[in-house]
Amino acid sequence: MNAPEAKPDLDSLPIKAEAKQLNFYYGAKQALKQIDLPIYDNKVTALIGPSGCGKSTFLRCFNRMHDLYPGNRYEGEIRLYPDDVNLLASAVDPIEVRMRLSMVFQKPNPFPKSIFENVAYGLRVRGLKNRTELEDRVEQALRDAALFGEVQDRLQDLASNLSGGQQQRLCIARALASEPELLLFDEPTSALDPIATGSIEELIHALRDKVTILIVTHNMQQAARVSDFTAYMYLGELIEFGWTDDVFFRPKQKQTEDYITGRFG
Amino acid sequence: MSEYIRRQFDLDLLQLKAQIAQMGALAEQQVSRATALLVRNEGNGKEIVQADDRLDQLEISIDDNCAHLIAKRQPAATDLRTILAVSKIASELERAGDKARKIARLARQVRAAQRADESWYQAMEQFSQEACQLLRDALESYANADAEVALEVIRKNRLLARRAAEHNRAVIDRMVKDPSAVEADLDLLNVVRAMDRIADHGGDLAEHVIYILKGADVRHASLDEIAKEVSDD
Ligand SMILES: Nc1ncnc2c1ncn2[C@@H]1O[C@H](COP(=O)(O)OP(=O)(O)OP(=O)(O)O)[C@@H](O)[C@H]1O
Ligand SMILES: [Mg+2]
Repeated sequence: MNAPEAKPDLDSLPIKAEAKQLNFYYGAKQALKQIDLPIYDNKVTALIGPSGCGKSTFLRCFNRMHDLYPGNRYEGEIRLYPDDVNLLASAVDPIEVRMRLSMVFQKPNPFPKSIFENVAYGLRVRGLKNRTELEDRVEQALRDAALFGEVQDRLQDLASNLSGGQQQRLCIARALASEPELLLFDEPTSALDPIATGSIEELIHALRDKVTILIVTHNMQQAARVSDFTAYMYLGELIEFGWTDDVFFRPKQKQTEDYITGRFG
Repeated sequence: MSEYIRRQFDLDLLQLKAQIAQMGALAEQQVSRATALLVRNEGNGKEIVQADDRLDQLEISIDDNCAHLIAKRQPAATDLRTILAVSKIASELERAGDKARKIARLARQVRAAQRADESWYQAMEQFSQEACQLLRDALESYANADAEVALEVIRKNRLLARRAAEHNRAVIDRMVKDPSAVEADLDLLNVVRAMDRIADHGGDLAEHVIYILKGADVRHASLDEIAKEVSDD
């Protein structure tokens, strides 16, 4: 009676990763509270919520970035499938984890190297030495990031000569080159103009056929445009999770409704 | 969205609400006037036709405002549902107005043909009042965001539809027995049908209100299903 079009049953969708009863502490300060959240395979999941609600904190748990600072503490699990490994287990090497996931940040952060080297770097780190194979993989990643056409004649130019939007797509190419299973974006377009933003959004939409995507965004329209699922967080808690269509059209929780319609605060 | 923008948006929505209230009052007045012309030969048909133009213009203006709000504010959730539904509510009121105009147009013929007795006229007076009440209640359910009242309107409209069929049965029986004035008798059926449709527009309006408040499209739902949506939180 309500659904504009039938959506597949959630139980029938494969899950790529899943937070289970996840707590996170910056020292004494608890930043994430009992988060249970499935990340569906080959879908885009958007995380929204007011500033400081814990979106970035959540994202950084996936690639164990918090491990770099003493005093940070995880409880609970983030399971990665199909092998069902707990990313947060102390037995799991954070370096291994980071091999399987890639993160793209708010500000494009290319290395001070050539366009080619920016993408090739991660592959070299992974032990790829064969020149032809390296070139093929770099080209493929640049194509997947919808950048190849614009840079194919200047692969040896410094990455810093690219426009902001191009730099961000280069960072996406770099992230894609290692063929991650999960791609994490933290506000990937907040430093870009509307046109560059549009091309990144288009890219995110197209990429979900290849990779599962989790994206933090402040721009609600962006969440509505690019994602299949939306999670709304507030004060470290997950308030609502569902199909983006439903969350934006008929949210279940009053808090979500208030946030989405700007009645918040 | 900043607090300032949110406030502006709320003002826009209030303005839509005021326009709907204006349309609603006008539509109701049209039905009363058409009924007075039919039942008591009071008033004049031209005035009714002119006022109907006003309803048409208001509908267009509301639709235009809705389209602009969607473009400008990119509304979501209840805001979006409200705007979509307001445009439909305006259309219900415009169409209720059309039925009033139709009754006004039939009034002269019906009176001239003298095929209706006093009890039929009284029944039409009564029917018209109930249809107007339905419209009013439906508009109130929108103005007060009251799903219970909307549900009641839908329920009453379904009862009224049954009554319309009863009014018609006597006329149809007579047409079968005495087909000499079939055309004039058809006019009587058409009046009843127009009255019934006015009440239907009230019922449909109430369904749009439930859509705003509950996010459920209940246009083809049973009363029980609608009641369930209304009691759901
Ligand atoms: N390194 C840190 N040490 C202590 N507290 C931190 C640290 N980083 C973040 N926090 C706190 O944790 C909470 C969540 O922060 P986080 O950066 O995850 O929020 P966010 O939802 O990403 O916000 P924004 O939308 O502004 O980026 C905030 O209260 C923040 O102040
Ligand atoms: Mg953040």
